[in-house]
Amino acid sequence: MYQYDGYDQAFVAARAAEFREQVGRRLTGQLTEDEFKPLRLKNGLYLQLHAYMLRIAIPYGVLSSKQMRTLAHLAENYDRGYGHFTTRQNIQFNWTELRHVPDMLDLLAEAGMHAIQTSGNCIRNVTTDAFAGVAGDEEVDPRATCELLRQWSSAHPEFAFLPRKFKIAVIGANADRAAMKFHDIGLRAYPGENGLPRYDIWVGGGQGRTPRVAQLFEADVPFERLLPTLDAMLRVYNLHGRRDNKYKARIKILVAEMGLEAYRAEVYADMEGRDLSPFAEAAPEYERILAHFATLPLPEGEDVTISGDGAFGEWIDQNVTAHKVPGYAVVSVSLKARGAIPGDATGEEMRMIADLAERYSGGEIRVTHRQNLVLPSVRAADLEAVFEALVEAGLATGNIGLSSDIIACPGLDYCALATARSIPIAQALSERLRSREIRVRQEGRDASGPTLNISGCINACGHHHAANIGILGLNKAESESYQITLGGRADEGAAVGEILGPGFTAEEIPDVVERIIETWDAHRAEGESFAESYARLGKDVFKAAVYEEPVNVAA
Amino acid sequence: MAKVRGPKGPSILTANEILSGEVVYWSGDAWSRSVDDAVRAGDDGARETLTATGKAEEDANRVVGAYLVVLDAVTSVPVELRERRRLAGPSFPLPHSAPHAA
Repeated sequence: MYQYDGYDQAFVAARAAEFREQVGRRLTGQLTEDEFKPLRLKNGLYLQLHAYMLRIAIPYGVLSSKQMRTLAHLAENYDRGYGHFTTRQNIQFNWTELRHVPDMLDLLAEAGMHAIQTSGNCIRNVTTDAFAGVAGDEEVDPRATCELLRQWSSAHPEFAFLPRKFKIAVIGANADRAAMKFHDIGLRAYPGENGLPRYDIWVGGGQGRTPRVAQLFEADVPFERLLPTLDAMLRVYNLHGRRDNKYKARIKILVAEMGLEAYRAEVYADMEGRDLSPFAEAAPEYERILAHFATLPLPEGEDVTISGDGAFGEWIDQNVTAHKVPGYAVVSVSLKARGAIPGDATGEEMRMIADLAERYSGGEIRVTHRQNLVLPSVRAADLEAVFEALVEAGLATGNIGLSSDIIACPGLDYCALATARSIPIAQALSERLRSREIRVRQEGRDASGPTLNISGCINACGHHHAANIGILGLNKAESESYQITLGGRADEGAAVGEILGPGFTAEEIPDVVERIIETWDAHRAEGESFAESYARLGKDVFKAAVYEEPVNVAA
Repeated sequence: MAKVRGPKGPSILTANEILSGEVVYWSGDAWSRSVDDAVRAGDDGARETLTATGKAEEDANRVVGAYLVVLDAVTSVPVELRERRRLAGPSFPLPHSAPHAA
């Protein structure tokens, strides 16, 4: 994985020292809260419903065992013993004290980490496929592009005050495991000449109150034109993006209002006549970065076929994926045990994963945008031992990609912006859906089901628009109400879900979701996914199933 | 700056303590972590006094984000859903290190 050089290390250490000084000035009253707020936000520190929350960047979701142990140390010594992995492959600590943040940032800097640009109207942590570099179906490893973009976008002076936050994702395979088309800019990398990739550039995707699937800005862009094009795309957005209304400030709105053609023309006009010589550094820098990712830190693997029964069999089927190197496997560790809080991990669990990664996976861990963890390179011969260790830690749930693998934002249990709770809904659904999955598998049937995401407000941090079944928590007359959307997809067939009808109470949701899944089961053609069935059947069959008979409410 | 949220009614002053970030309530002469200690403003004059106190306490860098929470006159429960959740805290046991069920 990428290792900080002296420049990177000095930069993050200097930023940590700068923030220590700013906190000192705040506490002595030299800075008011109004003056301090933009400074703390630039360092990932929010004030949430109950406490300060520190969001730490995990660049493109890649962590070393050492870094994971640093996070465990922070959880245990500066928080309440746990952290929350997010849909941007970052981690949040929910109970941070302001007085401790400078020490936390120092420890992070020592581990080659930081909280810079995890908040505010700037380019946020670039996300990617959690299987980058190891996926059996990969054409280009997107990590080197992600790191190049991290360096280009970190403290970029021109893009420090954009109209609104800006999110970029990069993938290098046909399968989209990063919800690429729901980003302000999405890149699909393909193999190019001389080891340098070419890119399809997508623009204007996003969720929130105006969900949009990205449109193709330009196909097959050579590497040399990537950064000049992104620079111009950001520059045109910076100039014309709306600053009068934060709900209309994202690039998706600008592209929709200008029209893609007009936006594209203005970007190309901006590029004309510009001095592109500063970008000449990009190719040698890409090659330097690539060297960090070039060699898998692995001895030869023995090509063995692993299968099993019961919980191990389910785990193999769901959580173990083909690796590009024969004899190895990609292992996903579910943070979605029955009744668990999606994405939460205790310090003890983090240490255990760090140890497992060190012993079995080259000391590397990934965070997925579905709020799980990945051991990217496990020898097939070690899978049983890894499973046994995970069982002991309570982390062996074999439900990756099943409906109980739920994405949920922190919701109104933590978030100052939320309009309803998400986590208790996820917990109740997890109980219900996990029972179904185990039962269906025991019957020898396919336990796969719709993807299920929950957001506690219209900002959609829980990606509800992009789920086969999306749940949006709203405040109706000071009571929680949950709206269902169907047919959304985050994969290569990206689509925004459609609202099913009037909302439900929290207590009604498990029955409603189960009824939707049963309806799909009843009407499903053989081998058909929920998204495919929905595209064929439409909304009405599900609407009838949900609204025509009263929904039972569990006691 | 202290601001009035929601409809008028009996109100208490809340904020987050500047150093710890913890939710606190104004007891009349200090900040308390218990809502039971909160002093209640029953009329416009008392509400204005509480609002002024919130601003003064922010200016003194003891708290951030001070504002009034309106209570139901009969039940004394906050009128707004957000404030009920903030008062109650997370509605589930916080994660701990015991193994989960498979």
